[in-house]
Order: sequence, then structure tokens, then C-alpha cells
Amino acid sequence: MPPTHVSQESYADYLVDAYSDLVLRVCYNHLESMHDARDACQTVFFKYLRKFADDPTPFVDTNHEKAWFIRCAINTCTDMHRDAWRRSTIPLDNAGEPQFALDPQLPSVLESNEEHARIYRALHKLSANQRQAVYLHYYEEYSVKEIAKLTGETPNTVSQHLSRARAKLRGILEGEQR
Amino acid sequence: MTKPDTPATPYHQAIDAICLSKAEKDGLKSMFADPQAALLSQTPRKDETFAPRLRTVSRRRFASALAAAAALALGAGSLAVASNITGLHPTDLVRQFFGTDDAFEETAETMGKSVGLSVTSDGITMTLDSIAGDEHNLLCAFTLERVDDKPFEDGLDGAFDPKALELNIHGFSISHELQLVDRQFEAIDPTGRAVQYLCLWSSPEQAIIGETVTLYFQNFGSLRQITAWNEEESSAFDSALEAGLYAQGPWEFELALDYENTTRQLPAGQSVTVDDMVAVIDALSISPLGVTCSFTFIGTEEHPYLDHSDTDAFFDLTVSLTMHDGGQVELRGKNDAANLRSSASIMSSSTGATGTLYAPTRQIIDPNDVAAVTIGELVVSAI
Repeated sequence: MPPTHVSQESYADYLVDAYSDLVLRVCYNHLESMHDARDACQTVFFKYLRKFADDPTPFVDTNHEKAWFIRCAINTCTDMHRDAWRRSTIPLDNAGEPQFALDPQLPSVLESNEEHARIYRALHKLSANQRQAVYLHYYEEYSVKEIAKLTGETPNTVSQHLSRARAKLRGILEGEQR
Repeated sequence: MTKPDTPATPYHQAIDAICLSKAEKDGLKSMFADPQAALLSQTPRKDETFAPRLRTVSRRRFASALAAAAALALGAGSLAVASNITGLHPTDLVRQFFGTDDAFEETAETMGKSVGLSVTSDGITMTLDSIAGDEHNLLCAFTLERVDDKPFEDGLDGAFDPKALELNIHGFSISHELQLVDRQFEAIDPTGRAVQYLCLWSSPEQAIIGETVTLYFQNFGSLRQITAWNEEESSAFDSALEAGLYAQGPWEFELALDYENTTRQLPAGQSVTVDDMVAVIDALSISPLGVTCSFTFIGTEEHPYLDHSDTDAFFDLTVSLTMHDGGQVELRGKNDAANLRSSASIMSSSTGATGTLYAPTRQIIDPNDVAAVTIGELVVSAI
């Protein structure tokens, strides 16, 4: 059922307002590209339409809703990684050092807030799983166990992601200050 | 303990910047207007297999507003200024310490207020996010951030110098009777640069609602060098704090405790006896946070004035509640070392000995649901 303050007619608007940014961020954590994240976000909502076109109120409550969108976003990103157009590989001995460049589709970050840009650079040096664990724990405030359910990993693995992410973020931030 | 609501750290603000534009959201909404057309335009993908996870969403984030009566700027070397930091909501502060369920959300709402005062001193910005409490007990939620952006140590167990902790009313310090009942530190930022500090103060004899108080902190440090924490071993505490000192401060806040008074006064004047030692109840009250009581000890003809050794038995005084539905709630058991927040004190002077007792609830209650309060053998009707 939709939340009591949401009418059946405006349920779709409510879903977009409530979860589109969440889905975008989950996808961005995975894909590291705003272009790809926007594409994935749209795909998530298409999946919702496809799955629940005949059942306009499929969720038990808002917790169920939110968890569905997070899980769907993660699965969508996993699918995108496997898609043929992303299978561009080069031999490892030709790879060289990975060059990090802040996503050029985040110009507002670079232009308006150096602190945010610094944080993005730091976050993008984490692995996708570490970045996702940090986001779900510190921003969405899920527990380790809850994150494990959402991502399909074990709680121990999630704890490791968080622990290593914290260590990397501190080291990265201190290094940038030297 | 439930997780605290996190303030808007730079990390949170950076993530906030990742969002769809209004036009993009409108585009998504338009898909729902004509689902068939939208679906026809997409390449089919495999269906999702997914086990939904239920979770209670109880946290909120809010923009703190400076209460009109709260903003007096004091502080040696620094001004307490209005902060833009998004801090712990008073309801979540109460929930953090005492736990609530939805039935008492409204009660928790009235018990506190957002503050949003910041003081920067000696390299640390301390922000008083919100307060909550009753007539005798005050909860405070602070955020501490390092100005140099370096992280606090992982798993910080921090403390302020207890000798410098003060709460002043009318210019007079009541710190001699004020007790720091509990304190908690928790990292709230993945970089470790911000920690949340929650503290619970009890003032059993002095009512604090309606007063303008000054909170004063000094010497903030880590206690990592204490392996067996014991606040009564002041020398060990002082040494550890000095060794792990982050900043001397001071940090000073002045604010009005003008949250709603949810405390019920109960009849006083009864006698309570423990091991043949008699005390008369001077004041007894109950609030969502527990029972607060003050006593005067009665001597005998042979010993009209009492010293501590005569009154020690009162530290084992039990406190429980009888609810209107017949349920019993134990607040303080005998030798209740497990209930660390329960506090008791006894003061003796040339004119006699007095005592105070605070027995906290483990989950906030509605005082109107309480039929009686039992202290030791004494039952006091709350009807």
C-alpha cells in the first residue's frame, strides 16, 4: 500500500520523489559515471513499471519499497557491467597505472565546492563495494546486517568494506593535506 | 542502542549534491503516465529476483533552528554562534538514551528542542545540536569536529575534565550536586573527523526547567590509556586524559531550558526505612525519564546527626513502578550495578544528612500511566 498521505493517483510521483536520488547514488557508487548512473536509474524505474504494471501498490510498507529500489539498483548495475558494450579490455601489461579523473559530469562540484570535490576524489579511490557500504551505512544509516541483506554479501564482508574504507579515507585525506 | 541521526557532515553534503534535476524527475514521472508506451521504448531485461528486507525507518534529519531564548554568546576566546550544522533531533536524542516506541513519539517531541550553537576553541568545534529532559535531568547532544580535518582515533572513548564541567544557574554553580550520569561517543563520519557526544546530567535537588544555564567544558581527550575504566579513580583518569588530550578548550554554551515540563510531582513527606535508618522524602517526581527523589535523613536521640557510614544502605534502595494496567517496571534493583545510569548521592553537614536518587527508565514511559511508585518498602500512590 502507498503511505497514508499518498493517494493512488500520485503514488508514482511519490516513488520518483522519494527514491530517484537514492537510486542514482547507489548506481553512481557502482558505475562511477554520472551518465551511466542516470541510465541505470531510468532502467530501475522501467523495471518497476514492467514488474508492477498490473499491481500499482506492491509494497507492504515504505521499508519494503526502499529496500526493493536499492536491491534493484544494485542488480541493474551488475547487469550493466556484464553488457557487451562495457566489455572493452586491454592486456594487463599495457594497462599502466589507473588515472583517476573526477567525473566531468559533476561540474557543479568542481566549480562550487572544493571540499566536496576532495571528498569525491577520495571516495573514488575506494572499490565500488567499499563505496557502496560507506554510502548505505553513513548516509542511508543501514546496519551492517541490513547492508549484507541488500548487497548479498556476508556481514563480515560488509564490515571489512567499512573498515578498509575508513582506513583508506583517512590515509587519503591526510595525504592530500601534505 | 539505536543509531543516532547523523548530522550533515561534509560527506553527507557531498552526497546530497548527487541528485537528479527536476526535469529528469519529471521525465521519470511521465513514464508512469503511459507505462505501455514507456515499456515499448525499452529493451527487455531479465526480471529481478529479490527478497525484500523490512526495516523500521526511524531516523530523521532536520535543519536546526536557533531558539530565540537560546543564543547568548559566551565562551573564553570564542563566540557561541548559530550553526548551519544539521544535528541530532531531540526525539532521536531521547530515543538514543532511553528508547521509545511510536506510542511515545509525541511525548519525546515535547521533551526537548533543537539548539544549533557552535563554539570553536583550541582546534575543535563543539556544536550543541539539541537538548531534551525533564525537571531534573538534562540530555545533551553535541558534535565535535576537528578544525584541522584530521580524524579522531578510531573507536574514540572520550571525556572532558570532570573538574571543569559546570552547569550554572543564576550565576551560581550547581555542579556540586550535578552528576554526569552517562556519556557516549560515536563516530558519525566515515573519515573520523566528527564524533557525536551525548551526555546525561542529573540535578535531583535543583529543578532546571525554565532556567537559563551555562554549560562549561574543558580538556577534551581520549581515555585509551585507561584499561579498566573507573571514574572514581581520579588520578588514573587525570593521567589518561592528559596523555590523550586533544584540546584544552574551553567551550562554553548558554541557553534556556525552555522545553516542556513532562514531570509529575508526587506526594512527599513519607518516611522510608532501610536497615533501621529512616529518611523523610522531601520531594518525589516522575517523568518519562524516570523517578527523582530527595531525602532528609532522620537521626536518633543518641545520633541526631548522621554521617555517611550510617546512610550507605540507601545506595541499595530499590525503585519500581506499578502501572495502571497492573504491570510492574523495575527501575532500580538492589545492588543494581547493571543500571549504570541510576545515580544516588548523600551529603552530610553539621545540620544533618540529605540524599538524592535518580532511577532512570530503560524505555521512556508516560507518567500518566503510572499508578504507584515503590521506593524500598514505601509505596506512593501516583493517582
